[in-house]
Amino acid sequence: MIEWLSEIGVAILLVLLIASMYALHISTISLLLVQTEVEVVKFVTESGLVRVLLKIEDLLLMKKIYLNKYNETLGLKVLPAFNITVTDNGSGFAMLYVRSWSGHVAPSLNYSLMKVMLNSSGVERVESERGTVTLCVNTSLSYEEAIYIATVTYYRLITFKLIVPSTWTRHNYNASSSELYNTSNVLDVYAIIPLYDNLVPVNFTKCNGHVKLRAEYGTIAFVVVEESGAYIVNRFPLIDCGANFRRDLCKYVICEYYTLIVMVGERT
Amino acid sequence: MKALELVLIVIVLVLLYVSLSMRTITPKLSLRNDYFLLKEEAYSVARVLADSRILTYLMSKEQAEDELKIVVTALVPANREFEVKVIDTSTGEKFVAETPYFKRSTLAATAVVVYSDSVSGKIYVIEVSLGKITGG
Repeated sequence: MIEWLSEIGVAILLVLLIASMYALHISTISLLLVQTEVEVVKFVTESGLVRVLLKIEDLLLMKKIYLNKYNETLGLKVLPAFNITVTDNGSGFAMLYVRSWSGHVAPSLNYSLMKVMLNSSGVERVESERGTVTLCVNTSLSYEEAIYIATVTYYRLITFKLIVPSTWTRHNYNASSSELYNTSNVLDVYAIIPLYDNLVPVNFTKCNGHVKLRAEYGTIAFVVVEESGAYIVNRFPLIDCGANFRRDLCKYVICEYYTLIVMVGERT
Repeated sequence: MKALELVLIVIVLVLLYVSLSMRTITPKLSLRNDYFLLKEEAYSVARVLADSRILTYLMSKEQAEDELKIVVTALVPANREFEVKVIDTSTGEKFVAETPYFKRSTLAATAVVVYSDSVSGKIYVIEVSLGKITGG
């Protein structure tokens, strides 16, 4: 009987030894046989990023899924199709830089640059300029603390960059319901539509302590003038997670008139 | 005891089989995911080429292939090789632009989009292939 028991015991020990060796081997090569899809693929399929034409609601849903489920493991950026920057050219004027995200220069792109100045009572002034740009161009607009809306077009490929001082931005607008949660009486609302050279007045209705805006197709942001001051709210949910990640997927999506690039990848 | 020994031998054989097949499973899973992502990228570039109506103007130029290469080079993500074929369905004329090392890609995905140009009354088939060179 003891002989039998010791035989069984030794056999079990042997099996455990072999199993532990293989478990170590599997863990070192970081492979789980049940995992057939990486996180990026899961996110792309779950968030509907397999499509190219998206609505604002789709972008909002993608952002929500990312923040709820993949925030820890993945990095995500939703940016303009081109890498657009507006800087001071050294002599007090705004300079526009446009590159592709791969670092290449796209030749002869059309651009428009709109500058909006706000003060405590509302919109102080709006200036704009149009032209063509290959890599960079000096503009006649002075560079100062202001809202800059750079629009770059290549035939029907349209993309934009909105540059706003952080103190002028608020997050009290719900893009999916077009509702603005104001703190004081709303006097005026203007839409920023990059295709136009000026701000577009927006109709709004007051209901239940907040304001419902009538967002025109192509609006990227609103300038809201309240009794307490003027500020800007974004309509397009452009995302920059701010973390380092591998660019596993860089694909273009088209939302309303605009082409955007979505970069997703595992965090490093 | 013989049954136990038999079970042990079977376990060892199964584990041996798993460890040997692991070498082929790993790249297969990786390839499947990479292919999916490349295909998504290729399709989005093809759609941007079509939806932006760039081809209406590019195809009428004398050096259409060079212009096409410049545009696609700017649109394609970094570290990707590409080959773009634009086929004019009415004449069968083919415009091809590719990176020098596209043929060396170890993995490539192709997406096809049809673009109808209402200005010149032509229909183009846009074939965008994106590739990656991996390994040593």
